[in-house]
Amino acid sequence: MRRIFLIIVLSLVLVIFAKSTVEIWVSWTADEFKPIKELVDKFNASQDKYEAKVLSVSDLAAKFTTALAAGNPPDLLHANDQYISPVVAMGAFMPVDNLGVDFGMFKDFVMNAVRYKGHVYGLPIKVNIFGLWWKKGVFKKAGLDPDKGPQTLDELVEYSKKLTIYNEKGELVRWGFDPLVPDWNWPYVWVFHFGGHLIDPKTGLPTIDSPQAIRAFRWVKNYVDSFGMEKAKKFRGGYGPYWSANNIFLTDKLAMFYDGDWVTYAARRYAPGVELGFTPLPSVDGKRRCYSEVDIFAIPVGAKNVEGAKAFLRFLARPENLIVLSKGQISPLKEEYTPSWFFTERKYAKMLENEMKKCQIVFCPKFPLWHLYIDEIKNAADEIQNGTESVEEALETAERNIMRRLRK
Amino acid sequence: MRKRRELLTALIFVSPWIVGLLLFQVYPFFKSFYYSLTDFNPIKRPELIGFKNYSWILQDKLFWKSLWNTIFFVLIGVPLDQTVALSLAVGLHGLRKSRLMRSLRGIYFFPILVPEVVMSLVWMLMLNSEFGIVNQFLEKLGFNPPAWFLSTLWAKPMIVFLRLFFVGTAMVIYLSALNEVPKEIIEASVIDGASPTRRFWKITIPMISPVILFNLIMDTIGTFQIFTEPYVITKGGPARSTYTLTMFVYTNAFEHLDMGYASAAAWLTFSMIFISTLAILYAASKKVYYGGER
Repeated sequence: MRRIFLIIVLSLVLVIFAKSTVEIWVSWTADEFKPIKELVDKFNASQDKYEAKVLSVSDLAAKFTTALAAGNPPDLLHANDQYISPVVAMGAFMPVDNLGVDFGMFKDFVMNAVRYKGHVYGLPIKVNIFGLWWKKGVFKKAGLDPDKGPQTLDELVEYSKKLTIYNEKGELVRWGFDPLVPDWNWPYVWVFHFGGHLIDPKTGLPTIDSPQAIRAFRWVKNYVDSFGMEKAKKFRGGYGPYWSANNIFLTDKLAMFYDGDWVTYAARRYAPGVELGFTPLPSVDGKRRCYSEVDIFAIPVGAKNVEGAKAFLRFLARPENLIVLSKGQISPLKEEYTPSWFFTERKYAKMLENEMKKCQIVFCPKFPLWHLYIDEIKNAADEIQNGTESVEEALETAERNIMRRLRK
Repeated sequence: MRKRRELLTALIFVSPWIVGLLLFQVYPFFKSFYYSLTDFNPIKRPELIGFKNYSWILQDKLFWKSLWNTIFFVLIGVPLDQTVALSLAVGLHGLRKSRLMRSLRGIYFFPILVPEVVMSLVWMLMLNSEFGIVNQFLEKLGFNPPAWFLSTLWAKPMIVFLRLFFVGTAMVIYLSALNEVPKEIIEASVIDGASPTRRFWKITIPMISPVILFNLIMDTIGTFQIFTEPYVITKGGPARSTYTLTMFVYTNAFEHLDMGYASAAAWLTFSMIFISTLAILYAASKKVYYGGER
């Protein structure tokens, strides 16, 4: 009897003093996973109430959906600002306005990206900026100024022609610039650089068949046609995986490359010592525009340990912790809150910080059917590239399809 | 009483399978039909909307495109798979039980042991337009091969060819069926002066016809559900030329989070598989020989 009593008391003590688990799902793997793992260990060592566990989950979106449907989502989810509107429209993220974090320390455009319908839906942890990158050595060899990229669309074509190399059969060996890399996720950015919108700011409806979008995709098609569509297709068929030693840009297959600032991370890994140049992708009206994306940590509706998740977010929001997750070159924090080592250690950080000040930062629109919309735009770009549909037809079809689903 | 006890014991032994079947196959099967009649996402409670999802899908051009692509894989891929599997089996059968036959049987069967994802990645590398072994070989012969998976013309046939690596199972089944063809009948036909071709068409094929039917149905069902190869290699592109019915279901469920719509698409896919299977069974009913019975 005494023994049983002791066991019960011991179990109760264990239950009372046990740490409650905070389950965190991220999409990062290998090297990219290390910083968050270190932060989780640091969090666990810093307090006795919660035990955070971080899991690297492949195909995160699909697994999250399944977990959500089963009523068993994680306590914290690593997501991209593109997810916010579709997932919030579904009612799957909790607002975190009252997290107890000073959101004023984040850059204003970063906070705009995580705000939807007046609420903050996640803690921004990482920001990426997109633009035109080149290897300075390649520019030098082609007789171009290695510190200055093309500033207009005409210059982009001119530079590309100078940098393109053909073999004796007339096939592409190096292409100056590819405006639509296969499997590339951002064909829609062209619309921004032609002064258009993906969503009409007045009606909130898709506008992928707008005159600006038509002009943008016509420019892209004409550009590729000027090098030969079939030649381009064959050349593209030889592109290797991005995160590999066969990276198309770092192996000089493409002389100029439109990409996020994570390319600096890829360069450090696969082509150490290479010097990169950066400029915003030229716009038709000469305005400097940079597309950006923000990674967030959000609390799903149905999370079991909301308080633990919030405690972890508060811990993460300390500048010295948050900055560890910024593996690229941009700090999501305002300059005065960013630790000074960030600018000395990250080679391109200062340059990009200055570029951002001169740029109009654009984000993907907050649209509940965003994923469907991207699919339609990607398909339209594909149809245009393959010549199976004209620019107008392809964009009209995309618009019709998305409007039909919207009416559903 | 004893029989009852035996039945009970048997049921207890098979119960794990029965429970699994009911829980993971039968229940989701019927539940998905209910979902197909609802507007439902992972958070929202399903709301009954009748057959609206079906009506929307039938108006969705992407559904028709994915149906056409799937039918292409079935109509071209299945006969090709079965022809290759049967040809390999006949070839191996001709080698009797030699060491060469055993080695070749192992080689042809080997790709079955490799995950489809890995085979797809290998196939992608082999057909890479820059450094792929196939293109390099064709270039040496003086051809100008295209970027296969970026061409709306070639992407589908190349996936059909990839699936030929997976004919090993069908081949082994054919091989065992060929071994079961009574030797006396073959010997009698030889004495009667029947040529090898005639023997093959008039004796071997009818004798193994139930196995052909079985392989045909299994391959048709499997091809209607084709997903891994196009998903890994082309993501359904270029210009959705390899986008299949199961990709349509998957995308709507897990990317667009429209479970009702996806369930309806899944049921339409199931209906097509069911109708195709019935059609094959009906067409084959007078052709298949079941050892004296029809």
